[in-house]
Amino acid sequence: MLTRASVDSATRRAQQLLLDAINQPADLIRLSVADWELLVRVGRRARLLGRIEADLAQRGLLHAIPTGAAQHLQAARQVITHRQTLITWEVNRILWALAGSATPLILLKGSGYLLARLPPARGRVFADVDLLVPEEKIGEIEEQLVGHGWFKTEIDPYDDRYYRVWMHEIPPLRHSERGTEIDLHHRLLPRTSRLPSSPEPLLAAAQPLADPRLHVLSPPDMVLHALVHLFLEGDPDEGLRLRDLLDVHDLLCHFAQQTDFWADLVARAGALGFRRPLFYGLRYAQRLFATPVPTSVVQQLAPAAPPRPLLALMDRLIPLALLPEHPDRPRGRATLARWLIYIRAHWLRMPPGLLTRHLSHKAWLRLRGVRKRVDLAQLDLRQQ
Amino acid sequence: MGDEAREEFLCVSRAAASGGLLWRSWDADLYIVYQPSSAETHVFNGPTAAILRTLDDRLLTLDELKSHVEQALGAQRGDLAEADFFAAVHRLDELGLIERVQAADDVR
Amino acid sequence: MIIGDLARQDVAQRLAGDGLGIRFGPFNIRIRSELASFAALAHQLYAPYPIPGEASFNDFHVRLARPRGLRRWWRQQVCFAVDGQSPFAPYTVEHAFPALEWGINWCVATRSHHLLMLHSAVVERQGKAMLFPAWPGHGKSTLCTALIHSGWRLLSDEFGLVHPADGSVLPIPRLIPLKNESIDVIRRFRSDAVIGPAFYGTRKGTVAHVRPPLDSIRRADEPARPRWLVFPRWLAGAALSLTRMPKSQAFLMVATNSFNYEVLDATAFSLVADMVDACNCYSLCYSNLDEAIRVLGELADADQG
Repeated sequence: MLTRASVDSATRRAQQLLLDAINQPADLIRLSVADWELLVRVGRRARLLGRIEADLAQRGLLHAIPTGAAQHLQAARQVITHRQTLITWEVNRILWALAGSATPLILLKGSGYLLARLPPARGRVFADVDLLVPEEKIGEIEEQLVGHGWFKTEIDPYDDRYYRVWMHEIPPLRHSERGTEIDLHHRLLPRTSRLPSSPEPLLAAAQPLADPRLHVLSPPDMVLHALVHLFLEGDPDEGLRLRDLLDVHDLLCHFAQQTDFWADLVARAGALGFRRPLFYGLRYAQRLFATPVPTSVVQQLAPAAPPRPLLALMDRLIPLALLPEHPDRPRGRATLARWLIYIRAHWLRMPPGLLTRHLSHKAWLRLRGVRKRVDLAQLDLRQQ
Repeated sequence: MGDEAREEFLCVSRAAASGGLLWRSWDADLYIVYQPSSAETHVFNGPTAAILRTLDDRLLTLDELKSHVEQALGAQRGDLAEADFFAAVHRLDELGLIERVQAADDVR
Repeated sequence: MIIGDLARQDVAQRLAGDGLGIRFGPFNIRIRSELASFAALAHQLYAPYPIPGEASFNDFHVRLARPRGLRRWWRQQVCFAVDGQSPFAPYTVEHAFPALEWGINWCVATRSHHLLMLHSAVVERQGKAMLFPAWPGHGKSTLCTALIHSGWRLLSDEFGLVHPADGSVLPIPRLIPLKNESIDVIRRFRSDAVIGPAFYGTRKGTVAHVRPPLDSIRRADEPARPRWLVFPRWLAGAALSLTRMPKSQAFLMVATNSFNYEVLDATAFSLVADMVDACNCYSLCYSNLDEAIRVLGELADADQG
């Protein structure tokens, strides 16, 4: 029987391996085969294998690690390269379909990092293209895309209503041949959110890319959006995504080279009402990735901290929800932390009555096994 | 495709061409083409493949293209059915393999 | 060391403890299970497979575990788990063995993108590989099982693992799951074939696993060059026909019968195209297994290339 202490120490070792791999990739060549084996397992769970591969490749160290581990990293890189090609191409085709339209398209998250060539794109899988557009243009854009080969994905009527009435995006559009999805957003947070989410200031500050129809958010807005995404788009199984916090770390390190970035960031967080998420984001990025944050910024944000008992609770819950468990020794505490964080995320997004309705609907879907089960769309294997 | 379209020029898409297409052909009139920009594999018949190869790095109007393709296929002028030709052009445009360039911003 | 070198008790202890290591072609698997019935079967059917050395890298950690939650109390069930995650709905406990076998295939198919993975049976003679890419139900497993009991070496019943560096096919000689009528067909074809117990009422009907001949398992590190692509189809009462297939068609059938053709981008295109270039391509229609074996043998004998 495993004692709690041995489970804790196995988990700590797994988590430390992962953080060390991200923070000191050059030291990876000293890992034993057994450590590599564990790192590949937790790295896969945290979807950071591609990041580890990219860091090693950059240093020319891929040949210096055990072959077995290198093959898994290579497999991860293959998927990432492929997905990045698909996302880049999808954006190309969106521009083609919207030819003649002057509406600026703001690429959010992954597709934005990728097309703006920002550091978080390195070794990262992105599933969809996320676009922010003025709300009054949504219908027009949706119509043009549908006229050029995309279709509105069929979702159950509850979800459709949920999206359109309460959310900040419309149900995804999917191309009939390619299968890549486009999420059209008209704001960054649901209408129902307790945090403010007026999109006008974001649209006004967005910065153009090489193709003047494409934009990304301004540096402070991009960091704040990454934080909002991290803390408010929870998933009860996965918890908070460590790689989303890593995106924040990468963006901070990158933009810190620009003069006035930190001052702009703090000011913008105040103006948009995101000082609390920024406080949390900087705190946990510093703790896990040693992100260099100027002391003056930490002091300026100190008043945005939650009351002391809540902060103490968050200091325990958030790392539990962020870091992957040892794959053979999951702990009930971490599962609970993930649920608590998920409920908190939904609390921030929705008024309480709606929250209960949504959670119970999700739970019901889960009991029927509609979500979560992977179906490998492949031939013989599909039929088992 | 109306008269308006005839004012346009067509060229091989920069996005497609920048990656360089990979071609294989084992059987008459059948081409298997890999497009690195989209990671897609296409199967083209002779006329469709001829459109791509004829355009290569040239800018041509639809009419010019059609007669060049007929020549490349060893056919008489007007042999290629308009409907088939336009369908192929439309499909290649949709796949991002060719681009339309307005006469106004002619870059010749 | 091979699994058969361990006492049955030892296999059970490893399965219930840190896991039983086993090597299937290029992959090291670590299996955990506390089911006694599974241990007995693993000891029997996995006997000739090698145990990776202590310092080897394990590619997949898989486990047969009892589901958590209320469900465990009203029906005897088992979950396949990899790295602590259960990607599939639970199985009844009687189907634990086929569930594990299939789960390992799933791990390979979804995670091994350092190789091109065709959905194909592969057999070899004199260093030359014959591939049978096929849709389920076309008799690929039956034909493959009959061939490897008739002088051909098994590379794989399920995966054509193509190495991107040189286009060679890597062996992964796993157990072959025969379905329904095929089980008796093979029993009649070779009475000495090693076949495990029949599992009734699985998601694919009745399943029984054939253990490949020892020579195939021992030579699991010998790749082969692709030489023939044969697209088989079993049709009741059909006369034997082996006809040349246009290479364009062969290309499309190989590419679409693949686990990760699209993920490997241009590499996959070039690998499949080179394979089609190097292979003679045929479609085979048959009803009589002995006739099919004979005509494929003649094809190999006639090949001087």
